Amino acid sequence: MTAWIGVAIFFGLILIVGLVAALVLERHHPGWRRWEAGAYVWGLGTGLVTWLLFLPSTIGWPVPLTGIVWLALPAGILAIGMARTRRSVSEVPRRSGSPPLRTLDVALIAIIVILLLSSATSAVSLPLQRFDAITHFGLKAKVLLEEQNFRAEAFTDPLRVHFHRTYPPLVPLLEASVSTRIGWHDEHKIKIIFPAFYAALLCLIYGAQRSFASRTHSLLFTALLASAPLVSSDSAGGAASGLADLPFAFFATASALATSRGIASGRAMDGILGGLMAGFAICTKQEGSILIAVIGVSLGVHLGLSARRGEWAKALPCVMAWACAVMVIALPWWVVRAGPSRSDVGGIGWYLSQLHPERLTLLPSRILPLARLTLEEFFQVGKWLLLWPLVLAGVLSLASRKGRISGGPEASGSGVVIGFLVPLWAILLSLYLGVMLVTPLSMPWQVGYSLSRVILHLLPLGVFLASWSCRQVADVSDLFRERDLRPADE
Amino acid sequence: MGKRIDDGHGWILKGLRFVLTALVGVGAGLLGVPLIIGRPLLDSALAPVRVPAAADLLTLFITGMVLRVCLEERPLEHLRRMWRVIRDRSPTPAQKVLLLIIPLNLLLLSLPLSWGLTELYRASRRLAHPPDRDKVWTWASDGAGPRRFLEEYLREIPVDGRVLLAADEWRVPWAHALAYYLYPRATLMLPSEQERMILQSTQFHFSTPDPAMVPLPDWQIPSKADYRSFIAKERIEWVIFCPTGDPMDTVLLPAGDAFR
Repeated sequence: MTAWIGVAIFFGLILIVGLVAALVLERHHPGWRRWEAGAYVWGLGTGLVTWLLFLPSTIGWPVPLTGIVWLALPAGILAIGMARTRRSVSEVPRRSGSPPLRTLDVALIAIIVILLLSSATSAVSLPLQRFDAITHFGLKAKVLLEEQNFRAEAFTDPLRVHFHRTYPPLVPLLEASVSTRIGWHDEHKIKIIFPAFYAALLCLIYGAQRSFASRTHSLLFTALLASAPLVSSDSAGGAASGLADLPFAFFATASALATSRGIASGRAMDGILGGLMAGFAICTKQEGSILIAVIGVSLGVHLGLSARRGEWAKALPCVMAWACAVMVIALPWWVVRAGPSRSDVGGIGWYLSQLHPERLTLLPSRILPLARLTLEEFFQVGKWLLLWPLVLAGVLSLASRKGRISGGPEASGSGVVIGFLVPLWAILLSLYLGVMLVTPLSMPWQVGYSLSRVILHLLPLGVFLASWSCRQVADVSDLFRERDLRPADE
Repeated sequence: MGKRIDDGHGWILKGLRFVLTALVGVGAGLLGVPLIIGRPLLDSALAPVRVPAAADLLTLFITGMVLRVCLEERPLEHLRRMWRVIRDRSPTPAQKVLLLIIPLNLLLLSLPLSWGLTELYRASRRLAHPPDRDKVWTWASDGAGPRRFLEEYLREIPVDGRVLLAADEWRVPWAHALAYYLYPRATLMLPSEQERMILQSTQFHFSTPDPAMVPLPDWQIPSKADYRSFIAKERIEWVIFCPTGDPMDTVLLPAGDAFR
């Protein structure tokens, strides 16, 4: 019981810090929906707390795992003060009462809640078992708990350094923080972090859909995302597995959605939020570098196109804010990572160093096998149900001009949002598959080991796009309408 | 399926109707699910889900409930409505596929749901009765094989002794990392360059002022003789060996019996 109180204290700290950051960002443009705001509070809280924990390491100071909890005091006072101010100046009219829940809504909520509970209990009832969960995260968390320093020999001494020394530190820091509050390295309870990210991801996707779809429609697609067996289970990458794929999927999706909103609105605050989430993604998994590269290039293209239309002044604040936020968050990690240089098997640098000309000549012969393996992966009902066919149909539909203009959501800037999100999603998928293509390891092995985990990163955004695409034809609540069918029949 | 019951009939009749229609759903599921998908296909396709046999009935029952809730007894009307949408709004072919996949996904929701309920039950039992070190074999059904192996066997040997953990395949490094994670004083060894990175990770000794570091022989492919000389030189007491690369095939041998 004492251990759970420790976990609750740390989660409280995360939520308070996240709330302060959310209130600062949302202050001038209150427009987040309730569930979406909750997700951003969690994301900002986890990201900023770990960033603050890591910051002293850039000058060789220890990680303040014990002292960080005192941050809750000023943050709490700040949050209360800001919330009171915001309430008094808020000009947002209160929304009228929500319509009553339909039977289908209740069923979908029940499904989501059961899967969340099952995932959380599964996570805390099993120890860390996956290789990455142990070597990349659990072991580093154990080191940090013991040594409280990224300059410890475990990270620097060539004879004692552990596998993937340069792997991003967000998850180990979170695990070490929870362990600190518990008092020992409890590998069961530290895993509660991952179902929390799963819940936050579902809130994010639900909230984002509510801007253009009914509650039933949004719940349906959220439930479909929640129910993908690989997402909710302790399979590699799932919410109960202790791997960083789901936290990364959360940050990547949040970054993409916030940045797309920034592009549509031109608001710097949306750009900052998108940049913060992208920065946290870099600190979660090395795939974060690919994410920011693609988003950065996309924003550059957007800025260029805006300049041609003479609208660069509208686009510039968001783009600049995004870039600054990414730099602020990622720079400390880049500085520490660039310390003692050594090869790191499995890192992006290692992959690039393996790109020899003779290997490139083999690429054409690898394309068809990769395509076959990828299609097989997409249709694995046991991992994804039929979610990937749904996502692919949705993205393909949005990619076609006709699919985009046939009616659809009335959300402002929808063209910009889709024009940004669809290419982003497609490019990220292509790059992930490109890595599989050029891997110096055996391709079937690489695909079997990591394809399902990396496409998991793209699944939430894919479900969001499929939902959008479906909404362009009809809202699900119209297809499954209950009440208005009855009078005609009776 | 049947006519609606007026509100005045009371909750008992409504409840009865609910149960009856759910049973109809079960019947449909009993006939339909095995026919459409097929249990053998399910077993192979749902490998990560591992739907236990006891959950099959639950799956079918939930399928019936989902059918009933979604269709509200008017499947034809819903199909007509969907058809009208498809006809009137002239969606793209991809959007038509999308609209067709949604109901299929809805039907399949019952599978993860029944799995989730089963896992909820099993995890709750695990939490209520955490396994102690004497009963680690009870974890077999949770896919914790290698961990179970290490816990079962390593607890029998002095874990601060000299243990050689050798493997032929990079596929199993996590078993080595796990061994270190559980027993940080074990001395581990791997042959190749990639594996050496992991070896180095596994040789991090917490709170051990003078860890017994083993100078690694510069082997590419170690022979049995290499292993034997290493064992003798380093006074290795036990050897954990994965001859096939499959952690489940791991064997534990006294050092004198290994690599003969």
